[in-house]
Amino acid sequence: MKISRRGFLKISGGVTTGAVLGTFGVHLKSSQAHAQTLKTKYAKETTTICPYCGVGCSEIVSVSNDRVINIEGDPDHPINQGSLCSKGEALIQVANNERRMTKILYRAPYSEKWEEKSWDWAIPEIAKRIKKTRDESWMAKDGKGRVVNRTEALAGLGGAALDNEECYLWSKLARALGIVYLEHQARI
Amino acid sequence: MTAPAESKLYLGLCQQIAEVRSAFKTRHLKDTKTPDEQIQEQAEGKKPLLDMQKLKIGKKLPDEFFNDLLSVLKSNEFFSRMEIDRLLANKEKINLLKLIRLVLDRDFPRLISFSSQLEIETDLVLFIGLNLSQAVLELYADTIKDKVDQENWLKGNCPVCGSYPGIEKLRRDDGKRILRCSFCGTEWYFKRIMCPFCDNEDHNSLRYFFIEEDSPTEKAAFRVDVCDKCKSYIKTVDERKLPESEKPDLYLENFNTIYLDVLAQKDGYQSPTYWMVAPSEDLLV
Repeated sequence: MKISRRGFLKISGGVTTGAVLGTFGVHLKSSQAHAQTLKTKYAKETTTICPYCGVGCSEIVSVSNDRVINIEGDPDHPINQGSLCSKGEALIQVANNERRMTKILYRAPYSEKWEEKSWDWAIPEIAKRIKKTRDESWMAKDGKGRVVNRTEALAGLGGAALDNEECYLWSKLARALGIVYLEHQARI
Repeated sequence: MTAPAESKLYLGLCQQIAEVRSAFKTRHLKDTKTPDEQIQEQAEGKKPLLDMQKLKIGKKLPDEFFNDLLSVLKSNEFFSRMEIDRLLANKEKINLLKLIRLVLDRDFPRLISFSSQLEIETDLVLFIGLNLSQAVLELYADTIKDKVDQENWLKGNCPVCGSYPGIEKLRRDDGKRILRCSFCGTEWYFKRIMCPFCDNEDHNSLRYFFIEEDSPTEKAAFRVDVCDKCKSYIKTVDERKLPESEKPDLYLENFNTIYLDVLAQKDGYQSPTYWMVAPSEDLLV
């Protein structure tokens, strides 16, 4: 009887059951009893790319009951081969962190207090202030009379945590606003 | 997590066998040579180095290790005195080379008739066959394992003898997944998120479990990786979670953690390797 490597998977279990367990069965009883006292927990692993910089290290994320329980460097990835910098190593803190902001907090100029605000308040407020600064600082021509249509009072800072599409939209928006100080943070 | 006290007898047996196996290897490693024609061209075909069909194992090595095994079995009470006596009485009748071949071919029906002809319990015959094959293969494997192309093999079966992995570890330095052959003991690299038995790479059907009291997971040095596609499992030792002074012996850890096999099998997973000398549906309580 020839059994191929793959084929054996399907029939393992049935062929010898009961026939050869003999002595081992008796001794397994203690392991069985021990196992009965233990509770198991399942987790799933997926890969992700570290959001912090442009190197693109891969990480393996373990999730159990919808909660991240471990993040580690992916040893199979050609870029980082399992290693991580201190920021990447601490990535789990992005997911599990009691200090992570879950609401909008606003501190008015010269105020000493943070106030909770809603998105409905925050987004129009940001737009309003951008427009105000832009209008006040708008420069249609430079000192030599050349058309420049820009503002030097606003700056844009992108982050390596943004994906391609977010970077594209953000740079479009910044250029439409006339921002010339448009930078990114592809560095640690 | 320590093994229950009752299985100490079995663990003692495994420990003794590990010792005679290592002494056997030390005695013969120098003068064992695997003929070049038996080492297959690994480059293009991605085949294991040893061609198991062509491998010619002389009579001398199995004979010698069989005697080593007998002395261990005599000094350990795992198998009953009566069984061992019957084995000793029939010693000359056992064709060791045939037994090794049957074990390597996973020919269970013939193994069962082989043992009934000898009037020795099948579990004892299989136990001997398995340990003989492992000791002899390990010796051959040791002479050629340096020829394994670790970076490019990346398959679920052993690069030296083609068998299934019996246990695996996550390496201390970098978390690299290293499988250990259930037969020849060769260790080789494998992908972290992939089933070694059916090559499934879909992370939605690959999971692992650990013992809840070991959480947070920093403590869970043992875990069991399961595949929901082929319903198989493999035990994993995470070296990074053991004290730095501890270097796990995967061969022994496999026997130390039988409660994990029981738990995996209770959840409907099976080990495609020879597990405790037998596939294990009977174990389910």
